[in-house]
Amino acid sequence: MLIRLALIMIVMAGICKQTFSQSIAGKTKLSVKIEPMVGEKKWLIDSTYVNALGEPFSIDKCLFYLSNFEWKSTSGKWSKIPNSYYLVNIADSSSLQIQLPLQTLAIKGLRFMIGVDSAKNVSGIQQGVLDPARGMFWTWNTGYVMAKLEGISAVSIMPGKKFTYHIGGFSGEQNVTKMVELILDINVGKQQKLFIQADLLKWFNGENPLSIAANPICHVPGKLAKQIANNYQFQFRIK
Amino acid sequence: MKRYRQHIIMIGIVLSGIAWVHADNWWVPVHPVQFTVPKGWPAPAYDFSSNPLTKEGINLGKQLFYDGILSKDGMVSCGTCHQPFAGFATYDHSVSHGIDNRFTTRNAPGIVNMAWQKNFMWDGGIVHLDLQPLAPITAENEMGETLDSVLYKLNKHPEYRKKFQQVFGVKQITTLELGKAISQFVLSLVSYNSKYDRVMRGEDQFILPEKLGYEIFQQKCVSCHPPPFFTDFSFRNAGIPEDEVLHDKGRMRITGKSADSLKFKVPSLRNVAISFPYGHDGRWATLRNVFEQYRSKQPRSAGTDSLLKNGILLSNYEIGQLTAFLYTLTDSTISNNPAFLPEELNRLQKQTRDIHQNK
Repeated sequence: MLIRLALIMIVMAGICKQTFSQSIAGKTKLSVKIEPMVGEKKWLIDSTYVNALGEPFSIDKCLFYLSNFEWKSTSGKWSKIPNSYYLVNIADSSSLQIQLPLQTLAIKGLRFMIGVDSAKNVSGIQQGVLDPARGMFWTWNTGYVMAKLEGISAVSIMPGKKFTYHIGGFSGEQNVTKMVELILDINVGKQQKLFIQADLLKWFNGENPLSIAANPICHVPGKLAKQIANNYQFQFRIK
Repeated sequence: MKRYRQHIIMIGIVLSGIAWVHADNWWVPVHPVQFTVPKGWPAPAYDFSSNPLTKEGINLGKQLFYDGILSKDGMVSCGTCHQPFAGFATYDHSVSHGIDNRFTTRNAPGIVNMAWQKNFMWDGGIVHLDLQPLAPITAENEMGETLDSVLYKLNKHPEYRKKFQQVFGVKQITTLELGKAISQFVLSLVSYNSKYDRVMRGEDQFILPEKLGYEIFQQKCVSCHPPPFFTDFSFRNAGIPEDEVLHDKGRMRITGKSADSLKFKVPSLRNVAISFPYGHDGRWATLRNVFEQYRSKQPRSAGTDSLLKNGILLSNYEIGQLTAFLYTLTDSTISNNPAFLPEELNRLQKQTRDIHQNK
């Protein structure tokens, strides 16, 4: 009888702890809507765009991880949002809507990582959006594909005129994770919604212009992956 | 008093109901297994608190290990290339064979004492044991499957669903439980009962050639192959010429550094006598070939490890003694242990009369 009672107590404690920890994680939710763009135009799967080098291309797949969110209070203090990992797929409208648990909606800025932090890369199999079965993981060379862009370009020398950029690498010199900071001068407090544009043209146009003709594929960590990540880190802007 | 008792009972029923919903496996007991670190060995690298071993978990891992369900055509299992009788390496095949008559590019190494290893594969590309099985499952020249498809098959399989629920308390099997289950079995493969181990524990004695071989080993081999694992887990360029077909650059493929070109992990020598052929691509058929490579006077490439730059001076006599010593690293409690064999094989063996035992 005593043992059973003890078991029930443990179960009760477990339930209490769960509800309690949920309540402190976030009082309210900020809905972040991500809009895939190519330059000033909305991304459409059947549209052709042109990069800074004059190469035409269309995009049929783009996924990226956004993680380690932080928010800035009106007093200027940054706070972490624990366990904030999201996989954004431009072709899946539900993934373009992120619900961020926050203490308050009076925030002055938002900070997040494009990619997945090193700790989650090295500590075994993860679940949810970080499950390797989501197809954003390299099994032969442990690590997440932080961001992925695929499409077709007339200048590509690959079969089917394809180009595929899988950007990964989390350790040391190979690290491609990028922190993005967005300053919010609008009052999100009232509308509870934040619109962020993801400009995929930035993958090509930047410090090191990406030529599809010269580099139609990138599937390993290294110099090219880092150059592309340096470009795409500037893809986010507040609408 | 009666009302008070009624309340207690009612609360009890409600809470048990909640417990029922939260833990799916609470009525099926699992039996914890204590991982034993052999005396004098370092602490394992694997974090057992993240995946506590149970008898049921190890058995589930074993069933998965020998089940072709993990491969696209149902024919290739982990055990296809990691064979118990070869110390869980590939017996008598240079490179591993995958689905559709395909070859991989490397020789499957023995997978004993994995609890102490921090990275996996010849190039160290995989940094956690739980993640290791995902590579052969998804490689197109090995099991050729997708994780989605494997999880679909397992979740449709009543027996596996029941066992995963019992061991991990989950209704839906995900990659996490698949990896942990296979790890449980692999972690149980601890090789520490070879003749060498018995001699070190004072339970047995080397015969003369073994003893002489051990002394030569201490002088000429031990810096890269130190006991108890008989590898220092480092990556080294042994001066082996690059294969003209495979172009396998080893560690460089992972780090992207030219200094790591042609470096491969120093293989463990445990069960070496039964795990031929040798080398990362299985290019040497016998131990004799390996010794010949190391004592060869041929000039070696620029990146060759400083310890092997000029080869190892070995006489025919020394090779004989060394071979005798290396044979003492064969562990029959690994290669011939019913606990590590597929259950169907164990059942078959029980039915067959063992002519050696005269029963």
